[in-house]
Amino acid sequence: MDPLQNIPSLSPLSPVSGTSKSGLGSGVPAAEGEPGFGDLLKQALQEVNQASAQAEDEARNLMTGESADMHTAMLAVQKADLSFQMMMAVRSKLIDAYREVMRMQM
Amino acid sequence: MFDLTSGNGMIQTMDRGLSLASQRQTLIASNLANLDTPGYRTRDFSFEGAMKAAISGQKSPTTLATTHPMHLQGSASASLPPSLDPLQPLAERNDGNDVSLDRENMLLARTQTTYQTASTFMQVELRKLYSLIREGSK
Amino acid sequence: MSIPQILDIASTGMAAQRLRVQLIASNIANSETTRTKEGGPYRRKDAVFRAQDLGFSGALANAGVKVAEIRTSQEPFLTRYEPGHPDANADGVVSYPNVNPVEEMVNLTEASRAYEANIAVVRAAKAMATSALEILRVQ
Repeated sequence: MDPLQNIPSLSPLSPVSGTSKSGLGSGVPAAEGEPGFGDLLKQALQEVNQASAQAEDEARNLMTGESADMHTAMLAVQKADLSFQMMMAVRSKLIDAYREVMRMQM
Repeated sequence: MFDLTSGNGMIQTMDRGLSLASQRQTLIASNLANLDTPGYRTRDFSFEGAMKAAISGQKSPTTLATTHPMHLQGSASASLPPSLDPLQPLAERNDGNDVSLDRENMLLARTQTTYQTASTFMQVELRKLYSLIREGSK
Repeated sequence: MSIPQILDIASTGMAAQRLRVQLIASNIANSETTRTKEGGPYRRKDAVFRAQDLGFSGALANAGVKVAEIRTSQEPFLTRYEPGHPDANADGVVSYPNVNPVEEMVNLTEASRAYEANIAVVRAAKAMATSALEILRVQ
């Protein structure tokens, strides 16, 4: 029985390779052509940072009068907040799944 | 991957609606400020036409064409969007001003409502996305 | 394109109409003034409006308004035969300001309607700003 079957799948992340013996850290070897887990996480973090930086830019432009469109700044902030919360949700899931795996390996 | 808004049709449409509504409202403000300015011509554009153009070009929101406000009556500028409201030609007074107080007041109210409506639709969609994240992480 | 610009434009409209109302009030108050500081009867005044550039580009060039000049009427005075009047001339004729109170009242009504319209614009802009802020509060 493959203990890794019990890990809830975390779409849109690609499933962890079933034959891997290491944990869910960045050491997971990727299948040919597939992005590694660590890469995905890195990419995700970059996206979140970028959204957050853009929100800050929009808000600043609104205050300095550079941009006068209120709704654009509002939407940028919400976009950043959504991506941040999404990331936190995924992070929780990952931690739960990791703990599950660690429990099983004992 | 974590960008939930750029691909969301409702949010992008409403974002466009908010932009267009506030643009139109600025033109209306100009018309009302210049109600008594000799020679001033009403400025406006087809809000519905611009929205339709935005929706049909939804694939890449960043390349949506901006409409150029037109001057009603007579001279058409080269950048007029093809889908125009059949706006009635406006009566010109002795001083050459053609701003109709009634028309602008009506449009002021309508555009404000449109803006608030678009904002509300966007809020609903955002709330849905936050819910999805919360439910998904249970 | 946006709310602060709307407010700027509307405020120029309000200022211009307010000045116009002041001139109308002056005309009405002085409709019987036969002698002014400058000598001679009061001359009717009105405001000449012109579009004002507020620094916005494109279709919003010259979106604001201002009173370009206060025009003093050069129309001939109204005359009445009043030989006993202190300002009567040699023929007993007194010159009165060329102010038609009825016309001034009509102008006053129009000016206040225009002023109200600009206020309505400000109110609309505030409602829109509130609406935009609501987007930020969703969670």
